[in-house]
Amino acid sequence: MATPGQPMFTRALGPAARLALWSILAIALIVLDARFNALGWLRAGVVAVFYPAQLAVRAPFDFAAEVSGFLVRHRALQTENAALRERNQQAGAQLARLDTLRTENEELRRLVVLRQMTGYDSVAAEILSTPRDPFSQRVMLDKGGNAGIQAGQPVVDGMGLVGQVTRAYAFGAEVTLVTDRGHAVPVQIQRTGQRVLVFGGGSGMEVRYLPTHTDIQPGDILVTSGIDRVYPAGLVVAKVTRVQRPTDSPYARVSCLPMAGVDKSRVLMVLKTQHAAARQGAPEQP
Amino acid sequence: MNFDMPSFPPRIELRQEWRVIGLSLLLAFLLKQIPWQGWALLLRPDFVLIMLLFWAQRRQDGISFGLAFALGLVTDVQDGVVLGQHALAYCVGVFLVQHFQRRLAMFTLRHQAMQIFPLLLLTEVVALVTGWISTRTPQGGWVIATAFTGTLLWWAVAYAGKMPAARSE
Repeated sequence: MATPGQPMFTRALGPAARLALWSILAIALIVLDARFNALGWLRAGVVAVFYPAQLAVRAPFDFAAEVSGFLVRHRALQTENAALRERNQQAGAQLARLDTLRTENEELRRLVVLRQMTGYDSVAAEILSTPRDPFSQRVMLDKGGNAGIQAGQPVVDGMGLVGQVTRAYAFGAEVTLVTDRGHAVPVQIQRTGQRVLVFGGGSGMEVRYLPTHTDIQPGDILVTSGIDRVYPAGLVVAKVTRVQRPTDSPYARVSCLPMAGVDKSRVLMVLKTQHAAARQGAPEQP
Repeated sequence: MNFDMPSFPPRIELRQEWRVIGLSLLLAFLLKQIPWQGWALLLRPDFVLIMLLFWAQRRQDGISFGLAFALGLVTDVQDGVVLGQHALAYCVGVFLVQHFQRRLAMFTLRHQAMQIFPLLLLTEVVALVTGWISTRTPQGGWVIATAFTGTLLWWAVAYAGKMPAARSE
């Protein structure tokens, strides 16, 4: 391709040829990453290199926010602080209740000689950023391998299941939210105990592959069933908002809304489940 | 100097020029690190891409594809998308701007911005389509919105680049 201003008989590659070379490299990377998942090390390296910059920019963010016109008012901060405190207390109360439930549950399990499910530790992590990706619903957390976070661990907030850690870096982690289209959670309808699968649907969630005659109605709460050994049983996931039973399809159309503040919470809890701990090789606690 | 016919700005000294390029790209990168949310996130122009395209147009030798590729990779990692998606898009953007370099230099800022818009749109579409092919269907068409905001940013950046202070460096 002739570009004006270029010497006529140059030995260097023309821009089009160079673009082609770089494009081939890019496509090779895309194939390696998307099909073979072989570039985790490169990702982790880049994240580690730019983590300090991200932190440095976040620190004076209040100032930057004012400059760029996003005025954060004092009152808004105060109300948010109050709300966070309240949520914190709620979370504390819920955790306390969880504790008692767990001990009670353990006793019961021991009685019926069931597979013993130990409790789980949790790490609180703040949302560092929300990547702009039209293909998925994800958030980045400010803690990673340094706090014991591993890929596969469930993430909750005070109100319910938020998602799952899909990539863990040294100082950060990527969480795929339950509303992501590619995300499925095995759940139970709390009222009837029936096991179903709930999928992400962009902003809400939906239950798929449910026969039309199934007993499910708006207002039903879906909790994790625990059969996948990823999510501990009993975590609140979603609430059914609408049930349609089309005559032309064998399946009911069930829309749900996540119970957790999937796009509102800023502090999330990563649960170190027994499953993940076992993979890590940590000694099992009695 | 004749301001009606904007000619190529006089070349500034090479080492200094690279310092300015590096600083501007760093600034663009840092701007991107601000935790953008909600509408601001949707409308946030890709600062790094705009700076890259600006320098690709402004420097007679353009910007190397390697630099565009590397910056694209960083964007890929930070957005958590498939590696190579933005790298490819940035390279295509730089190529297009360099191809139309002389043509762009002929226009006034307003017309330049109007010429940049389709280039930005095409760059976004390249990123979108590669993501689409390599992963899955997007959840909304609002990604294109950044082509508009990016055009406005280009205008601002090109205007700043034409100011006397930037010339006499």
